[in-house]
Amino acid sequence: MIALVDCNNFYASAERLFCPRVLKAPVVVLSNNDGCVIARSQEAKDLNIQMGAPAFLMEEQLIKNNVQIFSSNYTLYGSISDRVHATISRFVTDWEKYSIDESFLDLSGFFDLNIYRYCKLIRATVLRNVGIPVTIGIAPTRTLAKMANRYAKKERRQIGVFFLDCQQKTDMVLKYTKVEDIWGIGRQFSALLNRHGILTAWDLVHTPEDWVRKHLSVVGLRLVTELKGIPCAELETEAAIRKNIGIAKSFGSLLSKREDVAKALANYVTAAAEKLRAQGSCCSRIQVFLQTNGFRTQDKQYFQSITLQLPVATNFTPELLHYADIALSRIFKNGYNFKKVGIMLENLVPADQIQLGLYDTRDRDRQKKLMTAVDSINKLFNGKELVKYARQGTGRRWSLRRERLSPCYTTRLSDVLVVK
Amino acid sequence: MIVGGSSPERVTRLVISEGVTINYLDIRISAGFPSPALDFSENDIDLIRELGLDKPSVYIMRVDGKSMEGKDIYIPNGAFISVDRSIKAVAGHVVLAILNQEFTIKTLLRKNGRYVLQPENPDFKPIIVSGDDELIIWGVVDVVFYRVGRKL
Repeated sequence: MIALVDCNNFYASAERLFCPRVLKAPVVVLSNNDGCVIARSQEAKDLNIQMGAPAFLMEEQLIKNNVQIFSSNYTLYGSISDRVHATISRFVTDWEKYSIDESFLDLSGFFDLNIYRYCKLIRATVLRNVGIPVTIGIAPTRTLAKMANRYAKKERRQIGVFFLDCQQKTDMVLKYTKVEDIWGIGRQFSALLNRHGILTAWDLVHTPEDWVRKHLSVVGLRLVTELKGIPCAELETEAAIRKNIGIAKSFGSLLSKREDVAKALANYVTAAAEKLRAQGSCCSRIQVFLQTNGFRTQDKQYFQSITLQLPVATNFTPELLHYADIALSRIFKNGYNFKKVGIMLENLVPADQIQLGLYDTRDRDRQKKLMTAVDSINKLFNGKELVKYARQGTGRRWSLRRERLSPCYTTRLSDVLVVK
Repeated sequence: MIVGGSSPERVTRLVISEGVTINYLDIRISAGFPSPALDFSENDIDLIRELGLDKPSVYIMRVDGKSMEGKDIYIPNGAFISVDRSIKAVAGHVVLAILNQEFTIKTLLRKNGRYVLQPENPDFKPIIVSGDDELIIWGVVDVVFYRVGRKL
């Protein structure tokens, strides 16, 4: 059996933990730059506030209903997520952190009779110890566990645990779930299925396999097999090494000067290079892209990207900054209001397996020591970037708009909750 | 961890799994005897672990005010505290409570069938929780940190 533990309205729940005055009020969390709603408490969902709704379009509705608004604080959510997963992981030997708010647990070896009680205990422990409410769906496969979880969230909110331990229950949930709500079925596929009169997961399970293979490919067939209770995907207990590392963010305000855009880019490159070193990789290709805001019809539009092949794979920040700046020079044009710049580090290879260049004059051993030193200093000061590169600049014109950002209660001593 | 350096004893930390660290003494012998300390090597005291500050149920906070500066229990203004949510609060515990949507640190007592939030400083009045109040126990105050005679 496989259980999916999913935090309820995770970002909103994390904000609430430290803010008692919003315990009963509707809460929404906004995306980067305070643009759209990306998380809602149950009360906000009940007000019919939609996911992805632009905040500026609904100011009146938010104020009228006393909706509490937060900027997204990923430092806080990441830390609380770690606590949730640390708590869950004490209950099982095999588990996979699937996303910031979801974990799959492998419950094979447990007796069915105990599984339900055990999962209720997991739920109660996470709620008490960390302070985050979770819902648990249990089923023979991951796809069904996800479906059981969704059902529990909608129809078994108080209990918060739902176990597909017999075919009657499975059939009930299959009939309850529309094809567009099945994990892994996109909008296109659900439209196709609906056209053929396949409306629910139950309909899909009872569709001939040949038809599924023909229209939904092997991936679709695997999904249907999972819905029938036969597992196709193993738990991935080792976090996969990333193949690309990219950072691209919208600016807090539109930028048109090259030096401002360059500063923003330098900051993204620095952060991406740090991630690159953290996973022990080097990259041999970079891509830089630049774009205007497509929603501003009064502005001239521009989008351009460029890929540079590096002579030797590297994770040395100054080198990456140098090439990123060359790339930017090639695509930058004056006279536009830019909304976003981004860097993508590609062709990642393990740092100890790089192909050296014949004409390479860089002292790569020294560079490595320098980066190790910089990374450990910055780590010591908790990501506050004590050591910076000149290209990053000091101005913050490019930085995110986060006007309603909560403190980083769990990761910075200066931000801890003050209590009377 | 010692980075680089030419000292003959280099300590390498091997993280076996979460919370399990092994100090591996990498000794390069050029001449002489191996270190006699090798067989007796132990880790230094890890207060974070000993005090349970690495538990996912423990949150660090800071106290503002003198209401808990008592004789037996002394939590000075400005001290840091660890609050453990996994401890089940009973009367007598110092708790972090939410009373009518406000955080407060007090000693939890039960008198005449009612909960009382008792300050330890005699200059402050106890709060008797009535039926109209909403009381939530957030966690139990576990450890207090302050530097003697100085700000932390």
